[in-house]
Amino acid sequence: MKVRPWYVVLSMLVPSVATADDCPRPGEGARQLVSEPYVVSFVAESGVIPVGEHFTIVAGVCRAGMPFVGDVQVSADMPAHGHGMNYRPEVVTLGPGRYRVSGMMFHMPGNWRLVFTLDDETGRHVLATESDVR
Amino acid sequence: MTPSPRRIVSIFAWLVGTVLAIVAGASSATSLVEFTESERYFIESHGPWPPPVVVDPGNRFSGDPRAVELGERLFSDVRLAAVEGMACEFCHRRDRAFTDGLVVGVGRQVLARNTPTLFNLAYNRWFGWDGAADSLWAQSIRPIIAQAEMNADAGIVRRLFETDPIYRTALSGMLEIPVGELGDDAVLALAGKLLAAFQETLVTPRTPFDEFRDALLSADMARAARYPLAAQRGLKLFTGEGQCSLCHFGPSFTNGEFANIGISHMIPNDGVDRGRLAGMRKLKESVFNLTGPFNDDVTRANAVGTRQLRFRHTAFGEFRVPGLRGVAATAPYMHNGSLATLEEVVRHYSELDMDRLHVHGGQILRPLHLSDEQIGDLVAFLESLGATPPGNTSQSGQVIEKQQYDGHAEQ
Amino acid sequence: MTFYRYPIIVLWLLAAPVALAGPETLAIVDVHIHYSHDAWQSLPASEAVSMLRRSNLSKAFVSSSGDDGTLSLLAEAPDFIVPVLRPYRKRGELSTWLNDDTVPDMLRERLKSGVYAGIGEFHAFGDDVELPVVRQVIELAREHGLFLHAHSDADAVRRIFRHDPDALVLWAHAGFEGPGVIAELLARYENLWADLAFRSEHATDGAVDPAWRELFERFPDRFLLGTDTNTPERWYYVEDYAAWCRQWLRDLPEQVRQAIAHGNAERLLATVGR
Ligand code: HEC
Ligand code: HEC
Ligand SMILES: [Zn+2]
Repeated sequence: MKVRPWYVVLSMLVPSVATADDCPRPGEGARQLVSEPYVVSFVAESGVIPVGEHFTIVAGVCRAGMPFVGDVQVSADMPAHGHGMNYRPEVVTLGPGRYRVSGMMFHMPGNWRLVFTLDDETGRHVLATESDVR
Repeated sequence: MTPSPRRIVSIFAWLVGTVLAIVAGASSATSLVEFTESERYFIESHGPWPPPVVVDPGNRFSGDPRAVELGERLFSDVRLAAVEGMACEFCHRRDRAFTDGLVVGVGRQVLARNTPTLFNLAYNRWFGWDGAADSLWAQSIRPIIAQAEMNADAGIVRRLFETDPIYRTALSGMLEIPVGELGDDAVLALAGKLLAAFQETLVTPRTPFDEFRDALLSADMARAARYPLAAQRGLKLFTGEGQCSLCHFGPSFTNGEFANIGISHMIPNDGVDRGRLAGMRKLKESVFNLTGPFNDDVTRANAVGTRQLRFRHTAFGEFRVPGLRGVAATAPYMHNGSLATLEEVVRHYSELDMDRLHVHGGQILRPLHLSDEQIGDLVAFLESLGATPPGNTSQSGQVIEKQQYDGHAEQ
Repeated sequence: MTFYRYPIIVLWLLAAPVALAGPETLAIVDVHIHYSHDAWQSLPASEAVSMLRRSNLSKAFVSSSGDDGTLSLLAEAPDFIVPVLRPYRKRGELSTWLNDDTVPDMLRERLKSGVYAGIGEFHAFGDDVELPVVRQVIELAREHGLFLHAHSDADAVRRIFRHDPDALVLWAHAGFEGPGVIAELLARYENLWADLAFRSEHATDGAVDPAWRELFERFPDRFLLGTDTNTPERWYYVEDYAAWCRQWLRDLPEQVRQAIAHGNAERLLATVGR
């Protein structure tokens, strides 16, 4: 797995800088899912999501501009084919609001739905996005 | 997600190709089938071939020429078996693209499954029809100790390594600990890793399909047009309407995962073959899986699939999607060898029994109801995935010498 | 195994659920069994029933393509098999039945025997439910006081209840929907029950997923278990499935466990007067 050095630097800086917008961002090219007040930004660690290979996602999760505190789960499925992944991703917390999701695999090209489930004291919040993976 | 640069190149190549095809005029237009953008994507995904050489981080002997040589020797060494005249090669015959041509393998007993080819294994994630092994070396241990196959044990392997001067001398230069001091499992892992180092070198050669793909991508329409029209039409079905490429994806024509295509998985007089479901169980129980002590990748990054495997009821009756390179040379087909020819395979897909597939929502597999001509086209395409007609193994650059065993059951 | 026919033993079984609650013996009702014509050929009725019994099931809901398969199992074990009438005469009618206007008469004829607890499992998605054949099936279930075993998406379930607000629906595979949609429908329709056939995401290595636990605890009386023997091979899976369920059910409170394992199926049967 390639980890871009600038990303490592960025992720080390984030926890120490306390500004109003203290939302961790995983870096360039990240996609954003917004369901106020929750924001998830994520990017494949290697830059692209491959087909038929394991990949890792790095994600920043915030609530109202602050790092999210709670439980994060990730799953994915192909709505058109009615099946999910053959693997159960593992979510590891890297720091406040920062997560690493390993064991992902899209075993076919096509439309995949990626779902982040956030649990905190206010309940469960589901943020999902669909994209054509090729 | 992020559009890959590869993809942009492919669209560009397609545009150039279209323009060139138009410029080239009617003569070349009649010898080239038109492909949609999506079909082109899949065609591109089925290459390049051969892919870059990969080294297995879980096998410290992977790519080591000494291990390749020892592994090759072991592969045909009858002393590795506690059965007269048996060796890996007894079932995986060099003159049959490393299969046996039988419906199901025959060792000391008749086995439940068809003997697969050993080509292109370096690119696999799972091994065996049920993926019960997560590495080529672990898969190579199974037949040595299986009672129905070679029926040997660690003692037999250790003795062979200690007494045969060629193994002894070579191994003493490769190991920190003398073979005689290795534990039983470690000796078996060693044998598996040597065998794997050899098998990783078995790669099918370039094929007419690869010539076509590369020509198409580089918009060399004259070269592309040399690919027979029937194969082109078959390729269009394969990557288009047939949706075959969704599972038979990528350069090896497999996404490396498992599926159920409605083949019966009853074992005659012996219940049922649970397929991937049993494979997942065996994998978890095996001391040789990648989460265990014999994985040479200290980071255990290569064990992610084993660690994160998800239990699914659908795994019952699923089998690994086989790669299709050189498929014309490896009849009969399917996990139980139940289909004798490629034509039978295509007819199976053409007349699928949907009730056997528990599907929900959009279906990938559905009866295609192909005409005889279309069936012929698909077969022509599948045959074009081998360099030379079936039965002729001069194609395989790595195949060394032919060795026959007497009394091998033909069927 | 005729001892099941003795009412005293059956009574004893009902009276002693706690004694039977060990992981291997937890009584399970499997509500999603098919015994279709290709299964009859490889597996005679007597053997089929003993396979179900071997898995320690206390009852099995059976529907088959065609229905004669169900009746042959019923003849073998009348107290054990719960017959459900499938609108398919043979395999391969899973989508053609929707437009086959001979289906309602076939069902009417068969319903005369009065042995059935429900109609299904049938496949109907979205506005399929508006088709005359499906409307008549809903109507027949109402007339005879039977449940509908529907392999349907959420939209189709809503439509069924729009046509008959008092319908009893056993929702096959919980529609392959996620916990959110399932909760929404269960809250909205009191007479909706969901079977978990072919679902595995609610438990991993015996641990129930938090979102599903919430769902099971919020609607403890609405979930049922089922293997779905859609091929002859899957008859061999009934045993594995029961063992798998006993494992994750252990992770739930006693009452919820008993309800999902068999209590809810018994309650559904009581609701249809059986
Ligand atoms: C008696 C016949 C027999 C012998 C001997 C035998 N094999 Fe196999 N081999 C099979 C069969 C059958 C399978 C399929 C097994 C399965 O899927 O469960 C297989 C599968 C494999 C696979 C998996 C290929 C894939 O596509 O995943 C490898 C690798 C392999 N054998 C290597 C070996 C090696 C190395 C030896 C000697 C140590 C050997 N085999 C001896 C019959 C045999
Ligand atoms: C849903 C995934 C899937 C799709 C789509 C699919 N296949 Fe397969 N294919 C498989 C699996 C799994 C097997 C092995 C099944 C078994 O052994 O029971 C297989 C086996 C085969 C084989 C036999 C290979 C061998 O070595 O035994 C051929 C040839 C083949 N498929 C061609 C095709 C063609 C042509 C199509 C399109 C019409 C197609 N496949 C579509 C999954 C798929
Ligand atoms: Zn169903």
